[in-house]
Amino acid sequence: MNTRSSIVRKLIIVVFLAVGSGAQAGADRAETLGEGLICMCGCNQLLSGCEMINCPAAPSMRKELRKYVDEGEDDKTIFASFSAKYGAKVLSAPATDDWFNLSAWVMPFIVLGGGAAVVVLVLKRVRSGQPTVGPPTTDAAPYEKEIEEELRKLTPED
Amino acid sequence: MAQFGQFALAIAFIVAIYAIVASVIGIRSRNDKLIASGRNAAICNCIAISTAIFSLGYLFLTDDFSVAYVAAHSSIDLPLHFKISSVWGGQEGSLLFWSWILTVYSALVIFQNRDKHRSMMPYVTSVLTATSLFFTAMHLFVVNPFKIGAIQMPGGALSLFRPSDGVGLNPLLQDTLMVIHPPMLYTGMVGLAVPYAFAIAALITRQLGDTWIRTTRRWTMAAWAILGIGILLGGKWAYRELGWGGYWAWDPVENASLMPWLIGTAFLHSVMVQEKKGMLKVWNVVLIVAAYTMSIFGTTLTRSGLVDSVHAFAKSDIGGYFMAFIIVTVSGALYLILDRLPYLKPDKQMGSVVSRESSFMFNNLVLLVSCFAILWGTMFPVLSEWYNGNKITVGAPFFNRVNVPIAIFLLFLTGVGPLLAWRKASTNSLKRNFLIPALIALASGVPLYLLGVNHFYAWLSLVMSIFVGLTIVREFYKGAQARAYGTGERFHEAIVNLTLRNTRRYGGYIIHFGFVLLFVGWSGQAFSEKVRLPDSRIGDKFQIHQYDMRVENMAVREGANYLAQFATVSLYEYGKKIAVMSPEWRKYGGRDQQGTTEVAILSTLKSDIYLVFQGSTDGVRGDFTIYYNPLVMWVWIGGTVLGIGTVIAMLPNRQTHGKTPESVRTKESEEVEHAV
Repeated sequence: MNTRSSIVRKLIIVVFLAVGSGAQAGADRAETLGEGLICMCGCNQLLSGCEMINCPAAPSMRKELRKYVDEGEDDKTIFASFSAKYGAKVLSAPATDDWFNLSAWVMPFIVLGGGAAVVVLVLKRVRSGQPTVGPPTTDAAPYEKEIEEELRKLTPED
Repeated sequence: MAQFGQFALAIAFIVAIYAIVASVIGIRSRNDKLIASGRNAAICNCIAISTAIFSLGYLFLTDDFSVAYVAAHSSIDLPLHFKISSVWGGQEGSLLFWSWILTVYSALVIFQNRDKHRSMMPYVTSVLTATSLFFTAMHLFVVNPFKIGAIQMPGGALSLFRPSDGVGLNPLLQDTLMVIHPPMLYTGMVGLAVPYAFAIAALITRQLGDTWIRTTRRWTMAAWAILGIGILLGGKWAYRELGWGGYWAWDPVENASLMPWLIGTAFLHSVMVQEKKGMLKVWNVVLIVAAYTMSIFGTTLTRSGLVDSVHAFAKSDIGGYFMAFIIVTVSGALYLILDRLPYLKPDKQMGSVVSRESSFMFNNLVLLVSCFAILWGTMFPVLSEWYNGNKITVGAPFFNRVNVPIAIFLLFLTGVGPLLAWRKASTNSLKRNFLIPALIALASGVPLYLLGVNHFYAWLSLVMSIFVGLTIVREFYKGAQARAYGTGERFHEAIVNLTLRNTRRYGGYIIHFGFVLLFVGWSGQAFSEKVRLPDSRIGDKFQIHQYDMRVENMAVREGANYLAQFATVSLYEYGKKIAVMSPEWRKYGGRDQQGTTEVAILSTLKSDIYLVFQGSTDGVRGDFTIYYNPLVMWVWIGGTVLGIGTVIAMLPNRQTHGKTPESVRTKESEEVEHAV
């Protein structure tokens, strides 16, 4: 009897812990997903970050999110459901479903690649033995250099 | 007093026009008296705008609610320091404040250079005063801070209206940091107008050597550092006032201040290449025009309501005027750059790809791409609305994903760039400078991972911080050791003297070390934890990380102009009581009925415990949120180090008096040669 009741007790504890940790995992996932959504109260903050007192939107949105999580919906479905209900503005980052939104993500890296290519080209070109270019040969140019030297003398050194 | 302020603005407008015309005609006709007159007029412009801003301050201090701006941003019970900060708490006042800082800068620059740069200065005066004129026109005709309050009567007639009390200052702005943060931000942003004005003057006069850069170096550094510290102070304000547990949310207004700072950083690096090697002349002019444009654009974003922001405390239709101003200034600058291209050719050739010059070019590329990514993300909702009618959101997840890898690469360059030699770095010098720091940094990656740093970017950022930190410490150690050996100075004296004898180089290292500390602080964000505790009662206990908390009490207290509910919470670490925290929820009278939180923060070098109390309905139950934020204090320490480094870098080099042993002279000159 003692052994049986001990087993039952242990089982209850295991079940309790399993349910508890499941609930905690659900809460953690909801919190993480909340970073992918914007609170629709107008505060412009992430759903997980909106701490506005008596916020008219965050509590109900969090409840909704938790419901989807508890129902076992995947991330994509949850975001799609929110997007359908509140519009694309509810997502905290552009989706990648069309080329325009995708451009938000890829453009900085295209610019980085293009910029790097330009830097490398400039380095190659300048190193390829082009002669050093002197001051322009306009009428004023020689005097400009002189004036600049004069000004340099008048300016205290750093 | 309102009429007096208005009159001062009118005088400023007329005097600014005269300053521009007299300066330009004076230099064209070589009339020294006219040039001096233009210069004096620009200083008078400063006096007039100063009179206007002090008049506005006086109106706030005397609670003159007949002025609409005062009535909308102050109240009788507002504490004195907030009455002062209310001057820049709204649209009209903040623009006047911007204008005032600009005219003070102008007057100082004009006075400092009154006997120098004779051909350039009249144009510098004109450019600075033209910017001031634009703002004065805005004050007079679009957003007048001295407008008298009026209400519309039946039939459409306007009747003067003076309320008995004002609406009050936005509760979120009633924080001591808001007394300091906006002036710092504005001083930094406006300060970029000085190098911009010199660059334009250099283009006009075709004096495109390094004179304009050397003349403005300290102005640029000061503006850059003040802007940087202003940004960090804004982060600190957001951290303790907004109650969401973080200090940087990539909000459009935050981004608006970061963009000119990033370009300013690129500029400060690339001008060194022009000073030392006579290269990147076009690039430097383009950069300073871009930095200045971004500072104006930032003001536009902050004040026009072009994009949604939690920080945009003032919105109006000024965006169109600002955009027109930006188009005019950028077009003018571009025309001048294109026209003067023959004068902007480099004096010397580029060296190896592995050289200081090329590392600065990559540094510039990375900074500008980072700036572009921020601009792109900030404006993408507007573009999206134009393109398909959908105003989407681009929030923190986007900016973090795009900018974090870029920033870590920048940190890498911060460590590598300054130790590469000009022209070409030899394999031996690379090994000598980087091998040991790189090995130690890589080796430290293992214990970091074992200690739980399992977030890739946080791990990489910490490893890179160790690498860069070591390269900097090693530079100080090497230099001080050589000096101590040669002079007989103690090691710590040698460090001080070494730094003061080459302030620019060692000040720069200190600034870089400040960045290392900032990255250490930022890395901690990856390990933040948060627990929400709705409906907690007195006596309830809760836990986060190694800390336990117990709600001891909930009560109400009355502040100067608010009613606060506060909770008393005991904090225990491993069972030992270490602090009592008192977060508040405040409700201010007059303005918004919405309450605000005043978080309680226990800050240590290791982590912050950040407790938010969202009020109680019955005095025994309340909502709490607790955050465990590791390493946050390093962000503020990093900012302080950055400021100290900048001050040191701006100091003139200490001259050597008396004898310095030959061995030290040789060693130091080798080092300077290496650095230069």
